[in-house]
Amino acid sequence: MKTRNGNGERRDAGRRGSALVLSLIAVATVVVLSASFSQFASAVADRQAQAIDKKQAFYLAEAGLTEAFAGFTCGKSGIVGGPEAPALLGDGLFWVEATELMPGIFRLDSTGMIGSGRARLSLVAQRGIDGIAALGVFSGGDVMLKAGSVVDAYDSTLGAYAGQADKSGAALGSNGAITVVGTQLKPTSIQGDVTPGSEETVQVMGSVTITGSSTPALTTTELPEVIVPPVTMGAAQTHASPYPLIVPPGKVGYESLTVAAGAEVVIHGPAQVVLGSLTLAASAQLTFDTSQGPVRLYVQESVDLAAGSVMTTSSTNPAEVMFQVPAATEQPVALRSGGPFHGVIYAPETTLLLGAGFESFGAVVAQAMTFEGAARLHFDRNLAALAAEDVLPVMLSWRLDELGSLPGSNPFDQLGVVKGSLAKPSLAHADQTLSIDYYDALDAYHQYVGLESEFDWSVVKTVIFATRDGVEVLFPRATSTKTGTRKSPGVLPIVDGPMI
Amino acid sequence: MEAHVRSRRWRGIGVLVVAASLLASVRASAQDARPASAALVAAFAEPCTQVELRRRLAGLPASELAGLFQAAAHGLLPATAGEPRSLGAEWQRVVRESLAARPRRELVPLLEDLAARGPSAPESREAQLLLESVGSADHLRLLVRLTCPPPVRPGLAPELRRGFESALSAILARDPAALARLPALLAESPAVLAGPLVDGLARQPSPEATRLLAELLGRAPGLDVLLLLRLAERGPLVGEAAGLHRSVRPYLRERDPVVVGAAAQACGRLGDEEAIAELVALLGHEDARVRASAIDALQRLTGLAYGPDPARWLRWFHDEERWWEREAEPLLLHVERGRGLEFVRASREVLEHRLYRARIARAFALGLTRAQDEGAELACQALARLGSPVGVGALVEALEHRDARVRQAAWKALRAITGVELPPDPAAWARFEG
Repeated sequence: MKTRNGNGERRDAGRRGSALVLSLIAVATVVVLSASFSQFASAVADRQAQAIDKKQAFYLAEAGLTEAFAGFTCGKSGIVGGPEAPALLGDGLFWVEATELMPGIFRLDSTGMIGSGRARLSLVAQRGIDGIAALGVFSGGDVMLKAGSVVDAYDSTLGAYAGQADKSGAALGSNGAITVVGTQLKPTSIQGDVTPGSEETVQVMGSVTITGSSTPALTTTELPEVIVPPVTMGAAQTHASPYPLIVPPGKVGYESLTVAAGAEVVIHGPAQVVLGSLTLAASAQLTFDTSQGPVRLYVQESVDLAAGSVMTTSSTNPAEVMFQVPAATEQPVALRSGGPFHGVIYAPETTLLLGAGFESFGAVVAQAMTFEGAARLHFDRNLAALAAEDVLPVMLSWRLDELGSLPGSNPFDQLGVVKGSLAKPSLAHADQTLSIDYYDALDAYHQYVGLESEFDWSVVKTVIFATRDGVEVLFPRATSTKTGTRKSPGVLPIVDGPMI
Repeated sequence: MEAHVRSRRWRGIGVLVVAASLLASVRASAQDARPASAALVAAFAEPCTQVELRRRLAGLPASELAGLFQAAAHGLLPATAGEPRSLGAEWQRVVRESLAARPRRELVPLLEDLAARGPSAPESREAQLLLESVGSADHLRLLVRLTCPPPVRPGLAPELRRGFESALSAILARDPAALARLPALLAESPAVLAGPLVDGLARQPSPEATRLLAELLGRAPGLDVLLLLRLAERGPLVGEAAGLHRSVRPYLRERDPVVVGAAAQACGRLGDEEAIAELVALLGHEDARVRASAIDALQRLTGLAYGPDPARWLRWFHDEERWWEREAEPLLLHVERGRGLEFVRASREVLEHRLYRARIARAFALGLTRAQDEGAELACQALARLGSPVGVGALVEALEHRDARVRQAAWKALRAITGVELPPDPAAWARFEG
């Protein structure tokens, strides 16, 4: 108490107001910190919102690619909406543009927008192809089967042909007429459909069994051309050694390959072999060894496999060997060799001459076919199953082109579109001219040609044949595979007009 | 006049020869088609189940084997007279099994007799099946004579070719002594059997068969490409492969581009890292197939995808060689013997290099046996990344490591290297230790 003197009072007076200053500093610090934190939190929230928008935009663009690719699987153009009329999905939108890079190969560019997010993805896809092997035995011209012929089918995935009881499901087709001859001693048997050209008939003479339909085709079947791989051609090869000539895996070409009597050539897969001409003398042998991969053989000018020669395969899977003659030849392609040959023979521009000893397991398709003796052709039903997979498009590459944000903007305002007026993705595909032959729910045959937007798909039970903008629509078949050529319904169609 | 007489004499001899051969063929046919004995016919008499048929056939005397063999070969029921009837697939199988169950002392004379008189194609095929079931090294020559009876005709029917391969493969699997006789057999056999002989041998997965395939290189003209292809199919070799690699590498310097291409592919698939320098040189080869094979081999050996650009491969190769000359040794010593951070740093650096991956893998395999738990786990991961079979032995040992993480990493690495899914039991992986 004694310290309360004049000096002490002066000291207190000196301290007066310092707490206030400190408080003010503290308050100011808190205010600054709060403001900074608030701004920081706001910035973080903005960034998070942008990140979410970007991610959603990415997913929208991905959904666009999926929609376009799904359209591809059923023959659509791949174009879905556009900047002026995009497809609406949730609170965002997308559109897809398609550019044909080369025949059958397209680039799809999908743009997705939502909130401030914008993403663009692109992929390159190849359209599916209609595998020719599913045609079974097919000739562009007239066909005449001689007495004692057997055309049947088996399934190579179930084992060897001989051990299978079910030989049904064969397909013998032609763009021309088909004549089948049989005798009591040499009956002819066809375990499946026989399909002549659309204006043609099947003529049966003598003892002939056809277990399937003989009605004509709906349309003429176009045989696609063969694309020969680019290969540097080596000098002509004549092989006469008793040791086998081995053609190792890879791409290889020879101006010609002649195999002398008793000599053997073995082509080891995986290989693409291009030959100018192929000649097998009697007792010469050509073997396709596919234990390591498939073999694709292209013979450009002439094929002469003499009677008594052997053309055979190491595997019993016909999908592993493809023997193709891409162009017209001066002489018919002579296949007089013995076998057995498990593979696919395709000669869309030339005539095949099948010797009496030739037996094929797989498929044979040619511009024309002549049989020197009774035909022995066994179609592999598995080839049709494989062809059904080939119909599906294949994605070749994929990339992210753009992933960004446009803060504060709204994609609908930005594009000048009204959200409520946009179509959902499945209805946003570009309209095309649809030409379709189909059966309705009552199995009545209909035909429609017009804009797809005016066609009601719900009336279709089974599609017989369809094109979009003149290009055949290939439908993947989940349950049954297509075999042979399309049959004509045999009655006049009901012609549909616009339905919508 | 004299010439005319001589000509007539020759003509006469010719007629006699033709007549004799016709008679011989008629006799052979008669022998094939002769009526079956009553005992044989009785064995197939109905009613008869498969078990009963098997019992009856087992009781037949050896003298009936020829008839039984004919029944199996032609798929026909033995009959005393009249139209032959089909044996049926099931009974044919029973007949074949019954024949195969007979002692060799009964079967071999039958087959020798068949070979001496020249079998038909179905008989040859049946004899091949029989030898496939019961043959040993002593019957290899018999198999050749039954497949290609003299006089040897050009060409070999596909079914006989496949039958020969199967029979040879079965004999090689059954009798280890057969392997040693193959080089001599190849030299003695008709050339038409050379390919099937190599293919039959190639069906054997054993290291001895692999070595023999390599030894056969250069022995027969025209077979080298096939041998190189079959060797390439063996894949990266576990165990001592240097000798085999040395057998293949000289073919990279052959003149025939087909042989060079096949050798390049074989070097790549067999994991011959010592061939990398020669493969890089082949990138400038005039033949496109050789260049393609060299690129394929380099990609397999290094795991790099530099494509067809020789300059890029050359640059990489020179950089790697420089590294091996100047820096590799101390780092590999750290990998083999180092601990802790030293080991981790050295591991990281050596793993960036793709040349001589087997040598790097060897260092990691040594390191794995010495490293502590974490180091051992890292070594397992490194071996998996290198993909070289060199470390398989050490990894199999590591399956018994005290640390579960190391055991897990070793198991994962083994599966990655071999491409085989087996349980984490050292006994299951023993065959890969080589």
